[in-house]
Amino acid sequence: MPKYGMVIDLEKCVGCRACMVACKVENNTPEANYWMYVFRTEEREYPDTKVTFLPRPCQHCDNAPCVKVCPVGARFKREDGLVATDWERCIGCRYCEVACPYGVNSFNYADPKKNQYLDWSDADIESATGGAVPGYANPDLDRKSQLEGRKIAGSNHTKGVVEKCTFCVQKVEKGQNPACAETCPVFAITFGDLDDPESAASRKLKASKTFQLLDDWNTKPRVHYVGTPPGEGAREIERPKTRQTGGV
Amino acid sequence: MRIGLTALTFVIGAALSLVSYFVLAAPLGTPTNEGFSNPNLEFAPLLFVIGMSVTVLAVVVYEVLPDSEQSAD
Amino acid sequence: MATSTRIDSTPFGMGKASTGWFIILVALLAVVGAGAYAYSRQIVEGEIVTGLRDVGPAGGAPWGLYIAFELWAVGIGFGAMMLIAASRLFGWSHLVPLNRILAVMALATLFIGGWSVIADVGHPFRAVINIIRYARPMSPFFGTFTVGLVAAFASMLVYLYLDGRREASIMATRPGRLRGWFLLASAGYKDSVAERIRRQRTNTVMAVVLGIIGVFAASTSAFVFGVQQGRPGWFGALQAPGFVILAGATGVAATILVAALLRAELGDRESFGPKMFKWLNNILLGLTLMYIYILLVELVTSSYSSSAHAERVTDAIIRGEYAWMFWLSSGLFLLTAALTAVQAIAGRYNLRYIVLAAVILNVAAILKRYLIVVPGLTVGRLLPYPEGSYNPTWVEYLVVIGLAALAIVFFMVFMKVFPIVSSQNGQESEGE
Repeated sequence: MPKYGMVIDLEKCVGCRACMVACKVENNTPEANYWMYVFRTEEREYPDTKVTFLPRPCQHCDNAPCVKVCPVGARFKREDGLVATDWERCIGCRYCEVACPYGVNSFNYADPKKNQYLDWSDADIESATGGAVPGYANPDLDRKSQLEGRKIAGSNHTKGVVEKCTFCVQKVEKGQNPACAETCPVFAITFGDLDDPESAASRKLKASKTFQLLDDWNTKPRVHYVGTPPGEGAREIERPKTRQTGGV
Repeated sequence: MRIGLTALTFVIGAALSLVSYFVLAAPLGTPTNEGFSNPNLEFAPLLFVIGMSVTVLAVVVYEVLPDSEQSAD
Repeated sequence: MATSTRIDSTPFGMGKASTGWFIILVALLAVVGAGAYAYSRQIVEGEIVTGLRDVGPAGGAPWGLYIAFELWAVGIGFGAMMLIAASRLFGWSHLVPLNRILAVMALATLFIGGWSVIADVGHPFRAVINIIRYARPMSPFFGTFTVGLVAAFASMLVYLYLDGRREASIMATRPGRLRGWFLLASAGYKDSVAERIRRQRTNTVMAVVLGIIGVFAASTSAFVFGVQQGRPGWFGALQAPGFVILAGATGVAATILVAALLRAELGDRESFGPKMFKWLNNILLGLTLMYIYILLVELVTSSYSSSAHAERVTDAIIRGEYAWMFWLSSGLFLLTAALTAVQAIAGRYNLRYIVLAAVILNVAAILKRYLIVVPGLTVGRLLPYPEGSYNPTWVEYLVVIGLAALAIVFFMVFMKVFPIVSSQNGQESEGE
């Protein structure tokens, strides 16, 4: 059984956020939910400002606090190293979310809006598209996983359940890489079997000095970083819209 | 009779609670595979709840069971 | 409204409902209905109608008013259980008339506490099924749902039933509309010497059981927060003892309020005598002082905080956006201690001041519960997310107010079908 992991090279990352977009396209995540999130941070003051980037997928921890606290076993650890969420079993208590020190979980506070990023009925857009609206759902997200036969890829993101990065389990089970790794224009993200010394991820891990996020919290993340982490005083800049709005 | 039934109710309740918690429910320990997310027997937590309730009901058995002819005041 | 004593055929206003009682009941049911309407909006639209949002990039708090209310409500329930245990085990005879009130209060608050958790989850119907189908002992929620709520609820029901059997048998001998009900509830009780001895034994056993479950359940509620290493401001060994003591204090304070209301309503100064309130005042004083000690220890420990993240949480609570709430709640705890201590030292007790102290303590406890839940989520993130915010919406306020009204309705209806005051002092001593 492979043990998947990810190596992210911060020295290569240019903070373009293409991985965030690829993740959204592959996983159809709702508005303001980012399974892959890239911090653009700034340290020190002008003129000594230093800008750094930190892509943050789920860390798929081997000692995952979210798995430990889930009251119904909806969040579970797979033998291949992935931390998955069975959205059919999730009761939406958000305990995984408060337990995770990385802030990777998203709760669906409402049913997702279709075609949320563009008003396809707008006259200008309609004149360009001829009224055609592109397909919305990725059918692979609704399939049961091969390993345990549970729905863990996210499906149609119904309200009331928690979701997060799956390492694109629907692609990984087909032998493909997660969308973020496939899309990164500078090859900063390497995914693979960390138990296989010949995998690209293992070779990258072996060849570089790496760190893990919050490694002193004993979560044993399966995501490794090459380079240096943002400093204590790092402040986030250029945030995308991250907060779901609506309701009362 | 009264003591016997009370003890029996208590033992059944306590045993059901302990077995459902330690054997039938999802395993304890750091989860390393999907097995840690599933109970060994579905509805084991319900059995635990029933077990705890039966344990407490032993007190009702002790108090509510009518006196036998000999021991009645 | 009806003013009765124990020698009436229907004591404590049972079986009779005055116009005032009906008006209050209808008003409370209207509040419950408003809460149900608010909750229906949440069911239909999702929790987007609440002020809750994701921790992390969204800069929100995924837990808020519902969970703070749940902690406060079940705290009263667990506190009531501990008070029953203490009054039985330590022979605090002046508090024995309160035992049934405590039992009903515990059942009502545990019930609404459970419902506030249900209100918080995204899939309430699925939650009810999946908890009994899949619940994992590894999760602190297992303790909260099962030990905390089910065991406490089951043991309180058993206690309430056994505690009321003798009175049911007495009431069954009197004419009235509820006679059949009392006959059923008495389950053949004849008040023989053997039965009294058995009652004494089971009371002691139940006191031990309730004490253990009360303490253990309050602790498991604390573990939901205290074992989370990745959440600065939550992680700590003091959470469990803090929860137990605050549960005891809020339980006693709520008891004072209910006892004072019943004293005024029923005009029963014998059951709700000065000695009872003196005891309650002094117990409240002891528990409040113990909680202030816990607060001080927490404050000193966190001011020498080991991590920058925990320091930010402490800073937000002591000097930042939550400072007003922290200092207000701390001041109210001190005021409760002062109000109760002055009376204890002077040896002169005034019911108004005792009631005032109880109200103040409960306000302080609600604020403190909020401070336990929210700042740990909005402040002190471990990655460079911006600090978050949380403002409850009218939906959340209406749901918790509706639940509180439901607890009062439960209490009011119970009062009309069963003697609310335990009248077994004499009988208890006979059995001893």
